[in-house]
Amino acid sequence: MSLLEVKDLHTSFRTDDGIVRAVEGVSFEVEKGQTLGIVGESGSGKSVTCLTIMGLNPSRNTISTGEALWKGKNLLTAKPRELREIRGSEISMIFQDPMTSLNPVHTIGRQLIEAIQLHRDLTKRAAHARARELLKAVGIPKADARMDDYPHQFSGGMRQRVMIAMALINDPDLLIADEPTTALDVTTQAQILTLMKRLQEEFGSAVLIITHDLGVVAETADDVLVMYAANVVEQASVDDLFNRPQHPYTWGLMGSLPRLEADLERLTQIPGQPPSLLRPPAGCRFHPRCPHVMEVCKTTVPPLAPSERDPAHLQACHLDQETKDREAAKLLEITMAGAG
Amino acid sequence: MFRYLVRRLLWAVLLFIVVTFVTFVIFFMAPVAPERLVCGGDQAKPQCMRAAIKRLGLNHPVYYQYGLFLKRLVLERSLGHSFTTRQDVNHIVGQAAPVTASLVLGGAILWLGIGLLVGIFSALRPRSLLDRAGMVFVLIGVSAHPVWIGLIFSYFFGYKLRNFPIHTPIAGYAHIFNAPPGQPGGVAQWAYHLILPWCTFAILFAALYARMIRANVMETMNEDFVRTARAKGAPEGRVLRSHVLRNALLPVVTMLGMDIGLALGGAIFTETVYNLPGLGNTAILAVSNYDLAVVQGVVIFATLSIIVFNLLVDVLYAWVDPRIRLT
Amino acid sequence: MNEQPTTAVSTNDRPAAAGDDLLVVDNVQKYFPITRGIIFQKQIGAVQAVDGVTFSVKQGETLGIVGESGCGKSTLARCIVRLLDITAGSIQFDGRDISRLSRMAMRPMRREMTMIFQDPYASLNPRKRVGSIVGEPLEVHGLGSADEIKRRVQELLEVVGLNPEHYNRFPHEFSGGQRQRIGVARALAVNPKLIVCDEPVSALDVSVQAQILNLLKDLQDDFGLTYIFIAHDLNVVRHISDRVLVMYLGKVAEVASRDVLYKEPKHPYTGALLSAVPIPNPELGRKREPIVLEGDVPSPVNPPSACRFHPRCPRFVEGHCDVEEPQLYSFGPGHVAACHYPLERWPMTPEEMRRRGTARTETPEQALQT
Repeated sequence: MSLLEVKDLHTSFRTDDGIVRAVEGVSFEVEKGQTLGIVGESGSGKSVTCLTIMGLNPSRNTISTGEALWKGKNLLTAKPRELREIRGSEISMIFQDPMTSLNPVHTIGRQLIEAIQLHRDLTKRAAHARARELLKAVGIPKADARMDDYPHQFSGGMRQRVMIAMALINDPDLLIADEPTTALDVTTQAQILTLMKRLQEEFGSAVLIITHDLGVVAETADDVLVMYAANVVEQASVDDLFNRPQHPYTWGLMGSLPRLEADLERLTQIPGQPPSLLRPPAGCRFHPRCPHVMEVCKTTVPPLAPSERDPAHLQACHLDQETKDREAAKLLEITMAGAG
Repeated sequence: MFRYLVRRLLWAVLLFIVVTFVTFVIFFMAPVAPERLVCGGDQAKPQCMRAAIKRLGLNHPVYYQYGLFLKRLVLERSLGHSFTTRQDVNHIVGQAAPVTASLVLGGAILWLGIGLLVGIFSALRPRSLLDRAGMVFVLIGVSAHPVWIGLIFSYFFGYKLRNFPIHTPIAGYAHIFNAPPGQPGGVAQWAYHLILPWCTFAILFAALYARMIRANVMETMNEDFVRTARAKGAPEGRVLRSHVLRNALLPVVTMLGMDIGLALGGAIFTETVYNLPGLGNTAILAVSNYDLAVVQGVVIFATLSIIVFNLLVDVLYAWVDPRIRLT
Repeated sequence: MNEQPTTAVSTNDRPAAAGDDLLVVDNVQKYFPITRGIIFQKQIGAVQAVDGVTFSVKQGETLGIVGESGCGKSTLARCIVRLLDITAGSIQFDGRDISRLSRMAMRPMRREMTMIFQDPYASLNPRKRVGSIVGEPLEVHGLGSADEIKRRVQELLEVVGLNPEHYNRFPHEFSGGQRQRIGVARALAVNPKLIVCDEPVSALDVSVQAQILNLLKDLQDDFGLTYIFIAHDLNVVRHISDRVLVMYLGKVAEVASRDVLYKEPKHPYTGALLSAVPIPNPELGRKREPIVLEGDVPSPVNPPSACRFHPRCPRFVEGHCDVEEPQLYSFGPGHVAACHYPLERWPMTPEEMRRRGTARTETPEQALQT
């Protein structure tokens, strides 16, 4: 049995303008110790997927259907109390903006200790010791002295370390990282990614990493889900995805990326804008922007199905396999040009 | 912290001088002869007036008179004597201040209580019936004038319901300590006499605070760190107490300091309606009599209390919000 | 399309020929004072945001300025267009010293250099229509009648890939990428020679970012624009720039032409930056070992002595790097780096990085002669 099994997840929000269908039919599994990456642009539904699993969407205007089985128990129908017991202890989460994700009026120590004592019956002293231990593990210098400091006394990178310490403090089985390095500088990003990799080996948690950065996905994930406009358009192992991308949106994403390792005179841009989720286009969501659009794309939603070449590689596109192979090879040639 | 306090105190002294000087100048320009007032109005004796002119320095320019006043204030800690009643102004202010203080502080506690209750519950269930009812209350509170509210309250609670147990006195003040013989005294009577003034006085601010607290709480509920707290597995009650309220109520602390000063002005209406012998009533009486000494006494007292409250609030703020470091 | 947009308002004469220095920034300093005092504020220190930066930009080229947050790159941008007054040094634009010009004397210069900002949501007035946002610089400089301005604005909208019919819409009706196009049109309105782009694509999604980068390149080809392109994303800077300047904590770490800088970096900081960028290619990514710097960027209030990078530098030599400030040594035509122990080759493993080579000892003058 997989650790987390998400089946046909739908999430919509009621807004003043109508119903926004933010996630439509997402399914995936996370195994023990695995790192799954979800990549997509803003509004693709990647964050909402994770917030739905965690039960962190505002309950008033959200409707979620489908299943999110955590060790066999459906989180979507779990009682708030059961959900609370899982959150922060079995599944924990770190967020994009370390500057705003910590409570500014409590000390770091107090927030770490709170995370422990919510789930474990530890004495204040034992909790304090555990908190200090974690701060040391995430590489905060003079960890003992910094327990009594407030978040504003830390830099962005250090705050993200504190967030990671807080997430790992109860030895979770799954760590959900929602754009954990987007708000950070490159050198700090490198520190945090290295740290996460090391800690994953130490703690053995599975990781679900959400990001818009293909580079971050390539460096961290074992398997990747590509999302576009609330749908999963492609799912594959990281090598398959980068070597044999099967969906025109994935090609567009890879082609529009300026790269350090290749000389591109001109970026292949995806024309137009992502669609509104209030009134998404009929058929394939990507068809208005797709350079390979056919008549069938405008009317029929392509199912997420195994590719002809590799049953483990899922993709949702009507194009024939020859075109896909040709385009993937072309893309690979461009992006590898000049690479050593 | 120390530097900050010193700087604030220096500013306070400057503020104090400016406020009192402006009051002085306004009365200097008023078309009235203080010496005539002091000596009993139309039948004033020339001899008395000459003495008054000398004592008050009235033949000197305004800054000299002001200097004289300051000197007396600082050296003798005396606010002088009333122009009309010859009473010691220190005594007049001393009599009126507890009345106003009772009204304002009691009112502040009441308005904070109502504001917190309405604000927080409205924020937790936006667009619910409770929220809508709360916002109707806010609308009435900010729209209705205290004098009108006072009259309505007096009519119902003091007159229409006079045969019911909720009948309350509609005028007068009861001292907690040393009530004058023949008058009611003690805490119970004090509070009993102030119920209606408190309610009248608190409604406007309760409404403003309810609206502000509602907005703050709703905003804070959307903060990232609140989501972090939920992701840690904290129950809703704890999230609200430990993470939302502490942050949402920070601005309330600042507001309170400023509003208690403002409220001193608002208290005038309530005091008038319920005929409470507080600073507001005293000031109105004094202004209509051109009694500069008493007006100046009230102004000085009010200025000092505003300064003290603001200072207290600043210190309190630094204590509750670690991000503010006073240097 | 090798012409200026042909309207009544495109009357810029262009004395600087391609290849000449359009902008010369000489030893520019920008300190923000820190004051303290009970009544009288006296200065007790300064944020040394930009400290002695020297570089030049040639007519028609794109200079990329890259660095992490707090390195002073945005402050530098604001100094160049004189949104901030510089503390010391000089800025020459088109052969004229503009660093001490008064506000009035500066006004005509504002037609010559404009700016594109980072946040397409915050940098457009939400209560103004697109037409008046783009047309405002023309009005301010009195370039044409209302009719002419309208025609010019519609032409500009078309140039940046927007529908000219959308002249009367408000910014909120546009997506992030389209708003940035509006920002580009506004910067382009007065036919500037230089456009300073401050993180123009950082807030945009990848696919939209590519659209804006392509647009900027096309505009440069069509109108012979000169760009200063400030960004923290090394991929983006590499894509758009001819030459790149790396800043660290208010100082220039390295300047080189794009290919040289990315293939043969000399400054360890440049190397660490390059190595920190995640590669969107799992195979290549697995082959390399990133050089991870320790710690955070120090505060510019109290920067480290001598070489500002020394507390984080893998090749730090005690008694040298923290005592003697490295000058900008030359490493070939147009390639300078401020390091005593420059990198011998690239790429490098972290191990090789720590094994420092021989020190550069010649004076900068000698370096320039070689």
